[in-house]
Amino acid sequence: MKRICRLILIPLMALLVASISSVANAQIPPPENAEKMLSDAYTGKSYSPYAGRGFATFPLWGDTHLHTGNSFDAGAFGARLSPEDAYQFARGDEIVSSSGVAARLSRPLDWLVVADHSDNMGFFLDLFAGKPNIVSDPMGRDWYDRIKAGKGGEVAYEMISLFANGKFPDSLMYWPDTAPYKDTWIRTIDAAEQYNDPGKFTAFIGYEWTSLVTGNNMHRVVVFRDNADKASQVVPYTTYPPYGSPNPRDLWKWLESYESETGGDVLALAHNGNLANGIMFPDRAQYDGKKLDKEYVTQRAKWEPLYEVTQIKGDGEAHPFLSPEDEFADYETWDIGNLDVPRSTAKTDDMLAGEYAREALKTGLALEERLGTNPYKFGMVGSTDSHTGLSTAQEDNFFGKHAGAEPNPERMFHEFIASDRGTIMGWAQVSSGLAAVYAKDNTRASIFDAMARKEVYATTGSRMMVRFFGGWDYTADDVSSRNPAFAGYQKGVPMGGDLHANADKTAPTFMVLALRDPIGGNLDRIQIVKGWLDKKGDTQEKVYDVVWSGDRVAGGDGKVPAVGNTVDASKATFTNTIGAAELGTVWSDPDFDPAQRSFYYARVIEIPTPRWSTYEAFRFGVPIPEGAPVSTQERAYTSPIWYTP
Amino acid sequence: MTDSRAMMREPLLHFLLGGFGLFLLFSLVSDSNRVADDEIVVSAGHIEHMVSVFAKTRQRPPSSEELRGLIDNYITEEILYREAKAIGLDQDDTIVRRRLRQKMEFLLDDFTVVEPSDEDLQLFLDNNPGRFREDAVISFNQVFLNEISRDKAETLLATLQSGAVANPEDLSESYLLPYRLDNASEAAIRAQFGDTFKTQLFDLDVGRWVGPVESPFGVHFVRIENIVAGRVPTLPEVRNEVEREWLADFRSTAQSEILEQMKASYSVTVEMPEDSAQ
Repeated sequence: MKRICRLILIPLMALLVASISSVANAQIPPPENAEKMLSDAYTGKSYSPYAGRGFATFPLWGDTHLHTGNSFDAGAFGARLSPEDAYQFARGDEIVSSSGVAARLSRPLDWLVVADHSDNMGFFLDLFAGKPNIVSDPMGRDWYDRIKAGKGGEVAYEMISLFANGKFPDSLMYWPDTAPYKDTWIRTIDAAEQYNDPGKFTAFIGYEWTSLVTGNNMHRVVVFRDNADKASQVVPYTTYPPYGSPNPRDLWKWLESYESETGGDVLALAHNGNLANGIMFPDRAQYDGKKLDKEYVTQRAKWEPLYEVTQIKGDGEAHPFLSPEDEFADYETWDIGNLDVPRSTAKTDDMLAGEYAREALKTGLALEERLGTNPYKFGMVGSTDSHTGLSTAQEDNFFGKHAGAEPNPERMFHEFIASDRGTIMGWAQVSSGLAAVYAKDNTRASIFDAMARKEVYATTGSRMMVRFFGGWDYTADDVSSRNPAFAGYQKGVPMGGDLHANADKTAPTFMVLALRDPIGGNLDRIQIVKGWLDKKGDTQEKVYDVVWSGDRVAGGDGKVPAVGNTVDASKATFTNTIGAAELGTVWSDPDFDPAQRSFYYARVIEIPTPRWSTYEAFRFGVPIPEGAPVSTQERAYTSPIWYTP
Repeated sequence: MTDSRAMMREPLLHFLLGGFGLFLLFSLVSDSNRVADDEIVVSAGHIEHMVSVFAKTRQRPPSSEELRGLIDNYITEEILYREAKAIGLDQDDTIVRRRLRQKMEFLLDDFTVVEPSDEDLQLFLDNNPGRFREDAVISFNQVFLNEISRDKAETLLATLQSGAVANPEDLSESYLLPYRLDNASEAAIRAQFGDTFKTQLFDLDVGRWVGPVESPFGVHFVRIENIVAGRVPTLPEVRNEVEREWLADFRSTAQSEILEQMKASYSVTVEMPEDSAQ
């Protein structure tokens, strides 16, 4: 089969090599300086500054992380939708969910990565079909019978737990060299090729490498810039020895060899540090005791330009224990244990530093000082990690984590994960998130390149537009100029960029602007989050309110009072009578020390709007579950801009 | 992407062959078994199948003793299967029923893979123009205001129309809504400004300042430079897309049609218990 594929692909490959092989690596070096960038971006120096502009006017919205029935756990929970269905739904079609509910997005997504688990890819659909190689095994038979008897959810948790603890039976494993595994991968690629419509909708080829060490989550999603010709030359890397490994270092080797063998481009992004029990962002040694060394930090920085900071299984930007001064830090927090909750070691405070994005960005500064490279220099995106084939992150249109948790009157009150460690109820699922990408064209290449240069931001599901620039001479006039992005690119760098000390040792200026989602809530405030490495080598952080709606006055601690709340729980409504449709300002760091490494990112907070559980309670006529917040303040997290002395 | 058709076809071919393969396998298996009601023949083909399943699980072929065991087990299974069927044990068993239903669904899946002709595709395009229509694109300038009174709106519109303002963009009160948009598609306008604004915008006069037009953000005064009307592309331009959509539609409609046909040969009576009747 492979031979036939290759023959057909030769002409295509030749074309592609000629056209897109200019980028040899996932890491696109940032421009030498701002002027250089301007000459690329601001090409409209003729009469019309709008003609041929080199940057995107609006971000492209997507999801880097969606599972379909091809993921063994998703299948066990009842997902029957295929990658084809997932792409159809994402581009705006109405389809029927696995549980039989008609589903449609309020607005299409611009792009989607179907990222099914690589381990056992395709296993479940075969188990479900009772293929003889599976049901001839006693455990396979038992699973099969129970699934047929309607106990798929129970089987799913059992499989996940065995998998998480390295005990999935060898005899049942779909190893990467087997025919069903390869077939599933080829079918996945075919689906992406079919639905990829350059200029309209981008369907990425991708998968998830699901590393779990005794249930501690080190998952990464792998995204290909390439088309089928290159991606089909390999099968996805798995975590089970002997074919795979749970060690990120081995994944990076696989990525390296993929690029060198095919001339392709890939990147990886991790997610759910909050379920890692401390091992997602190591400070001294990685999970197996091996010390962080030059190789670890350079490889991680090279292959992992992004981090998925918010999704259904909890928001991972900040934790109240790590950021006690930040009144917005405790947002949709999941901190009971790791992914295998029933068998997990309970979460302890000392684990948290290795789990949350803001802390990792800070740790990265210290590691750069110590080892020469910042391994945690990542941009931030949100994604769903939904296992339903349906990428839904909008509060009033949320289809849940898995097919067993699709809309029904009971889903909020079911135990989502139950154990003596604690229980996560159905309502605690988070209707989040989205990835916004400043790519000029809606194509695999353009979006991937924007990801690689980190010109991306995360939202918890709302589509607010955010611009964030750092440089040395932004002024208030730039904000109100006819198009602030011109000044933005002209005088500095966008989100994801780097600043180096200027001759005058003055403080950098940051221009930040946000426009609310046209169908969402107004904006409460924009904040700038700063992290830095102080003289003693300790990391610090501070959150600044930089612009906010109305005539509120910041208190003595610099904090702006709460915006208010218009949510009417009884009708699941809100009004945009508070907040602002648009906010923007130029801010200069009042505490800047030119000798200290630092990073800055913007956090945009919406006014309170009904949480999905409130919409659900209204629609199904059930009470709002005890403990569930009535309203939520959706937010955006931009990729940071780093300052290096 | 001109070669994607070839790539798409190839897996289809596999599906198609796979479907026939399955069918052949079924007929082979049934041939070897259903010789006569009281006769059991374990064919060489079936033994090979058992051996390969065994080898796949254990990573080695069965010993002759194990093979004997497999065959004996199969014979036992076959006898009990026939006896069970003879006394109707398969009749009310949920697992058996679901499994058979599923096997039928898989079969239908395989039989509904076909290659459409050009005529099929042209017809599909003609019947579903909206699904392939290229959006109209618009280029316009806009002055955006957070809110405005009726009087002020009339004055501002008059000022804009008179051309007395050298830089109308300076009047705009938004940071991020651009003063000018070039060749923006209907989808892009809908995504950024909402559906109502989109519908109004494309109906406005071209070449002069008009407004105010409301959006979720506030009010807009707009001067459209030009609109390139949307169009339905010809089949050669969108053959890949049409084929993809045709296949997706075909599969779902063909399956429900087959089901309907089957249904037609049954007379169905639902005897609703009284208390649950509507």
